[in-house]
Amino acid sequence: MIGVGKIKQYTNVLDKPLSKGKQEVSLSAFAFLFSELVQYNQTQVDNIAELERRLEDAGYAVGARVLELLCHREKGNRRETRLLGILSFVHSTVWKVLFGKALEIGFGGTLVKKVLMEVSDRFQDMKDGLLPDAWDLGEPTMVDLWSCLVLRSAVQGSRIESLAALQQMNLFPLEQIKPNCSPVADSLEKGTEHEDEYMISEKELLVNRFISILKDMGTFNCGAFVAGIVRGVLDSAGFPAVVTAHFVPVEGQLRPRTTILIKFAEEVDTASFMSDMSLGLNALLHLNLHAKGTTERSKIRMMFTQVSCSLSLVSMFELVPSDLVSISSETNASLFIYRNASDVAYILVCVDDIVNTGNHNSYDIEHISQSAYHVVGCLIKDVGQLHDFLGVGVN
Amino acid sequence: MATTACFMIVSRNDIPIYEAEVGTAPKKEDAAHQHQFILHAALDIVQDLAWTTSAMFLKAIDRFNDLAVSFIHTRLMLLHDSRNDDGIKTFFQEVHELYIKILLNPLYLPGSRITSSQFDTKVRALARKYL
Repeated sequence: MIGVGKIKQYTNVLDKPLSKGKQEVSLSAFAFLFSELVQYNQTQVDNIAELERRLEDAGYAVGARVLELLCHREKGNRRETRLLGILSFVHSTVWKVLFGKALEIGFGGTLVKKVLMEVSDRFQDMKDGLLPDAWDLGEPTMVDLWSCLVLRSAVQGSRIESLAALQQMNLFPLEQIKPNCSPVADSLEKGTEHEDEYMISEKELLVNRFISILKDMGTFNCGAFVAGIVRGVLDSAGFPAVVTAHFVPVEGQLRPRTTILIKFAEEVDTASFMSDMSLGLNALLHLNLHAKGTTERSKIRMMFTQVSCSLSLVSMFELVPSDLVSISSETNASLFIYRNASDVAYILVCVDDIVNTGNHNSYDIEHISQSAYHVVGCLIKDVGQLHDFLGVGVN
Repeated sequence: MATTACFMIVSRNDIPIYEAEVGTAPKKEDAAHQHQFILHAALDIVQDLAWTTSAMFLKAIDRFNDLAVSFIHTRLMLLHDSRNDDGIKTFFQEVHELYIKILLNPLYLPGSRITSSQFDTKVRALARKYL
């Protein structure tokens, strides 16, 4: 026990007060201990995959405990129920406690500012209402970023699915947003190819600092231990995920970066999508309250209906968000097409009207209204057959 | 006044890992089973509620006659008939701290039964103090 000084002896661990977690740990001691852990496990296995799995399990046990301890120590009486909340908990609190530094946000703070400015320009007269104090431009968090994107997309009447979609909207100079941009700093990023994937990227992971991999070990990465910690935290918090560690070579650098890939289970993805959507809804409701002119209000009302209907459609079809993309027609953000074998249903959302047709009779208005009521609390009335639409008679 | 209170910690798979009758009321033969039954029934409500709020402490989520179920942190549950909310909250916080200490023990396997007699004694002492 070097450098710890006198420690009061307790007969039982339960009598000892919980540590405040401020002590520093010797890096060499940690590296030595970790190398022993790896070496011991190496003697117990015949292949690399097995070795990684064992390291991950060791990390998992750490993660599960870390979550519980940090919840008690840092968060007071709150618990994370949202995907982005728990992710930002991982990249800020957990990383800081374990490795002594918080991660950066992948997209870069400038994007958040741009989005916010763009949105607030659009609704300049209600700027004060639009930007709550929490959205301090000083240090945006991942959650802020995503809520901005949701708000943004709500304003556009469609949802931004990925960075690529954001680029297509052509609202910002392209060079500002590059998918797969590799920021210099260590960061947490949303995967560009899949909605439910997030990446934690570190130039030099603490556990890999003193480790060089032999050629015959192939792709073995000691980061599996850290991946295990992340999985332990997420799993214990109720967000099951598959977490893996990979080496990503960087040009002009001797050592590769370590990327920890987090892939959430499907149920989590849908839940988070729903909460993203309801976040957008809340923002719109907020706008609605502050809107002044009639035109402005009707505009917002339209967006509100569209977003809320998309939301209820998602819940009704029990779709994963990726399916929604395929059913949402390309030309019209408010036309939803549902295809399942020979069944087809078209649902058109226009301002506060919903037109529904198709041979798939289980998705009738009754159905929509019920689920809409369930999700957003608004009532939809069936007005019977369509006879008049936008001033044009229909047979 | 004699009070009834039953404290239980459940693992993530809804398996009880610790339980204690901490009330002062004289024990009835069938009461223990009944308490287990009520707490088990409340697990579903806990699961539903857990995703709708970020608060740790939820009081009286389920009632059975004059008994109420409160929980903190989705794992620590208490069946009680006292109305002393502050006491219950403090009790939960103290017990949660004890639970973390048990959990941080590298020799304790998360999700297994808590057999420490020290833990048991301390929980009962806390119950006498706060409930």
